[in-house]
Amino acid sequence: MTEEQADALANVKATFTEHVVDHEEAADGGLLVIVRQVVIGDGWNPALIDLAVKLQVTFPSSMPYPFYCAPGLARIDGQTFSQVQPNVDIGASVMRTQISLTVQGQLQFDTANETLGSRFVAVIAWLRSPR
Amino acid sequence: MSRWTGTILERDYDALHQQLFQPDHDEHAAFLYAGLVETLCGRRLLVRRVVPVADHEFVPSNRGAYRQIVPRAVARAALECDELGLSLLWAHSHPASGDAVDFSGDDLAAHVYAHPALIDMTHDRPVTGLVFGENSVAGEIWAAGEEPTRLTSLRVVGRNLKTLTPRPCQVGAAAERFARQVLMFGAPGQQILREMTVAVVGAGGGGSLLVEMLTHLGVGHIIVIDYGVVDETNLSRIVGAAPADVGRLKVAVAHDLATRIDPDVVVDAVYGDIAYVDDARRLLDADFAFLATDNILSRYAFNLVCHQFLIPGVQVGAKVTGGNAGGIELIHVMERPVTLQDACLDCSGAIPADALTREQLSPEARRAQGYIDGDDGADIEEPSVITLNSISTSLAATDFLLMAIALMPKETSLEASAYYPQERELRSRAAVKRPNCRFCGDGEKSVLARGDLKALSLKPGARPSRAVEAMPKAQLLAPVGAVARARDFMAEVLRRHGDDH
Repeated sequence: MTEEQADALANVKATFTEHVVDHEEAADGGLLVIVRQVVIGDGWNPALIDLAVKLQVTFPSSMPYPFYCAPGLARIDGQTFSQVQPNVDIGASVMRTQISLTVQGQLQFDTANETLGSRFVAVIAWLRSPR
Repeated sequence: MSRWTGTILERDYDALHQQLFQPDHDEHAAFLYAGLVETLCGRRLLVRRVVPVADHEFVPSNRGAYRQIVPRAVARAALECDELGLSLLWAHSHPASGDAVDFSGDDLAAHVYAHPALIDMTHDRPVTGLVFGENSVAGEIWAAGEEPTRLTSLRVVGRNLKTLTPRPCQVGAAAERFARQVLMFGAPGQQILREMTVAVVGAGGGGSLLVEMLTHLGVGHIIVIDYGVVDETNLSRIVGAAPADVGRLKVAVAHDLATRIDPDVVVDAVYGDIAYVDDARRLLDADFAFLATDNILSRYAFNLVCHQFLIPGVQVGAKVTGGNAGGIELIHVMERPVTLQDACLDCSGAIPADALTREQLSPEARRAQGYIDGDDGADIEEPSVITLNSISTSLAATDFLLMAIALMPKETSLEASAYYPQERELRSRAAVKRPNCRFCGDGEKSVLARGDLKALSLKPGARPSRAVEAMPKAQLLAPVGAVARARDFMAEVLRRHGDDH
């Protein structure tokens, strides 16, 4: 794990003190940060997910993007959002729901004003009120 | 015994020189905090910060020497340096010394007295004493469990590259082949080029031109890194590639090109990708580096390695942008110097985070992203033309030449240059250096000059070599041989400099 990934992981743990925050190191130097048992609202099936993001070894020069949860995430009313693709092969035949959310027009991950924890919060907020 | 050298940014050296050589012509002192790196050719100190010692803390000695830094200032510096995870150097001047300088007996006695305690205070990191003449430096490094070792040289990097040594170097006659160049920059300039190690990342259209130019200029040691194999479509622009080379490694073709031009040049042809730690470390012995690839991940890696290990460089590229209605909208050629003290590639917008992120996603993940922005997730082949490559590489190689032989005027801006062939116009691209930049900034978290004291944020290991295993052995230049060649080259350079360690 790089120094920058370790700092970001610590920040997520400090942000989500009520949740279990896990991590998995990937062979390519990436770090998967997982916030367990996140409530995203009754409009989704399931309403409780493990929300993850893979921080590339280049983080924070690369964005914390995309976010993932278990495959098959769907709206109860059948509505679809282009940002949520329920069955994506993220490599090595591993299937996940891919949540492609980022800040529009942002060219850099703005570490002066944003943390990985705050990005998780923003993604959860969007899932609770998707648009 | 390992050889020790040092590197310092030109701006830091200027500040240090101003502190050490004041109008009073008296001795003055400063602390330097440095990162460390160990390479094939030895160990190097990478100066990250210069801390002047105030006159009231550099006082007449109570131990028989001329002056000494008061103990509280030494302790303060050692603690601060340790907190930053860096290695401590303390420097003073001998104002009467010019091109040659050495420690006095009192100086060396002070090392014996102080260095063991300072090593303890800084968690066994090496402690170095330096003495500067107007144009020279001598150094003694104390590392835990080792005999004291003399510093071979200190390289000043920035708009111009300069090497300081304890005494002047001998200048030999240049080979006849360089006679017309010697008319421009003299035998000393030619010798500087001959003693340089220059890395070229990418051996395609741009990189092959650079290898050709560097060899003609007389650079003594070229490290060329690429993992690509020549295909039919490369023949329009890889200099030195012929139809018979289709299927060969691009670095093997570059090696043949250079050694055909100059049989005495040392070329390390490295199968690799600087996005991987082990491959990127092949750059660490370079005095200068060029980047001639067309992906953002290698720009990130290049920017990272250059700043973390104080290797100046240049990135080159050419871009042909298609219009929405078909046809060509814009042609431009870029050349971006990496001076280590001006805006870096990241500050100048050459490493867009979204593109860097996208390149590292699986094709399926990119396609899923494409549901939003219309991208189909496929890798796109960009247009590439030799005439455009030759403009950017000529600009870059000329900048290198002027920097290497210290002919780049201080007032000259080294901003990125963009050439627009359809307008026949060369424009400067100004960029603002971000103070909190993780590459070139001065903040505590920046990688600048931290060397091996910070793990490289790159993919672990070396690029997988499946493609290489399929190649005939004759096409590959064994890395072990390359290591030996690099060591031999450095030993020869040091021998010419009178280094007898």
